[in-house]
Amino acid sequence: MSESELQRALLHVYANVERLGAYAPELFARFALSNSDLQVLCDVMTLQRDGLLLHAALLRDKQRRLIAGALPASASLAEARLTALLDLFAVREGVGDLAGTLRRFADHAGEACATAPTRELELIRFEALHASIALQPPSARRTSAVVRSAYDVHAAASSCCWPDAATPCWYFLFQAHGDRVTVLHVSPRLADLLELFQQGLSRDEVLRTLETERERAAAAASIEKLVCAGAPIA
Amino acid sequence: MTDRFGLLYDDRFARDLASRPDAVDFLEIIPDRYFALDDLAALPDLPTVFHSLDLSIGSDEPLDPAYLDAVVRLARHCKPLWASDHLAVSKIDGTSLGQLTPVRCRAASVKRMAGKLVEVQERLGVPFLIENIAYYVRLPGADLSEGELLHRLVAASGCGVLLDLNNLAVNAANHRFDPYAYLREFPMHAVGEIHIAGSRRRGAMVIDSHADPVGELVWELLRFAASALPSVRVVLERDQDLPPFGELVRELSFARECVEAVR
Repeated sequence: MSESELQRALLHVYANVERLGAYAPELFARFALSNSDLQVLCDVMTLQRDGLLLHAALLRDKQRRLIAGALPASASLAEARLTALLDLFAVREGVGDLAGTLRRFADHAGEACATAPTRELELIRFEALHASIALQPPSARRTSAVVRSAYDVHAAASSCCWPDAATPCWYFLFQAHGDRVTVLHVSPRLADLLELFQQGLSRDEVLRTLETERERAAAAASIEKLVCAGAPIA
Repeated sequence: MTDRFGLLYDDRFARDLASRPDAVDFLEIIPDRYFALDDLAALPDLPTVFHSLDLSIGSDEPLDPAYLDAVVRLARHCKPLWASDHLAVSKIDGTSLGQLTPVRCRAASVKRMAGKLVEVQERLGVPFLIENIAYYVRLPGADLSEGELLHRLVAASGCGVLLDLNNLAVNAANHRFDPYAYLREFPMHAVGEIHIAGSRRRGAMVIDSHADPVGELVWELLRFAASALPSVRVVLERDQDLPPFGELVRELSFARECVEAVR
């Protein structure tokens, strides 16, 4: 068997050691492992549990540090909520790059926000999305995000202080080629259309969802402006 | 050659370093943190070496071309004197694990790992060193010691080694072996750089924290290693719970004293 397959199985153990419990060969049924590979896993899980738990804890600590370090405004304005979210954020088998991890964390905050929205959660979600877009490697397919918030979390993230009052905002975030992240305030209607782009619809398909020729012309003009600004939409 | 002493570079002490550039002989840079070239504008004008994290020399798959390209691009900009990475698996199926994980030291792995080391050296065009990591799990099924594996990698690829004395001290404490016996088996003739750092207890084990002062055993190991080498290049790694810059300089001065004491 290849060393890779054993490493994949070990990765499964590192990421899930706390819930896996005692060794059993069935835990590794999805891996193509030889008997000697299974013996390695048995030895490690039986005789080196402290080491496995430490490895998993260090991995989790590192992920927490990286995420918190990328969200300075949230760490400053919403520290307790950020800590609670991080506590519940699972380590995956293979963390991928930081941009991907932050995108997953933004989704995690978004799920919490859908249940019980607060300005802290909205800020964390916004800042995580912003950071994930900012950190996209130049070779990656450019992504964007549409964010709705009951507070001006963009201003909060920029100034590191809360606004005086709630102000519903719709943002469109994207990274133009080689540039920093652009954050645009958009109308609720345009935000709806941009979400259709995010679902994979083409420009024609998005425009066809509008009822009148006048609406389609106005939307086409807005979309054209975004494209000229470097927005990654079709 | 002369002994040289450097620091793992951290943006947080950039201003202090700018006012005391003579405090260090060179800087070690983790290229992964600076793949956006703009970030390097503020780097002090000092000789640099690279210490990458994700070449995954120990994994069973080819080098990640995008990652290697990024390191090479940065190397063209920074012109490091040499570069290094770890004897570890950090990537599987192209996905980063987020943590260095240990390899099984097996004779059958030498050809594959050496091939990757040769490729990296050819692409970077500078000497390349491979570092012993701290590991908290020892993988059964090895047919070589770590020292033997490193000897074979040096012979097969022409690479050098980066001897991390704190990783050695941590492993010796956690896995209960004699660090001096390890050093006697280590390919000392190929040591191009030495790391020193701090550790701390966590539960029943010791971790390579990069957050604490260098421990007494590491200073002793530095004296021992330096006495076996005609010259050393020592880097102090501290990137967590960063103390005032003056404290880093004091630790680096103490490293100089340790080395000078055995010259």
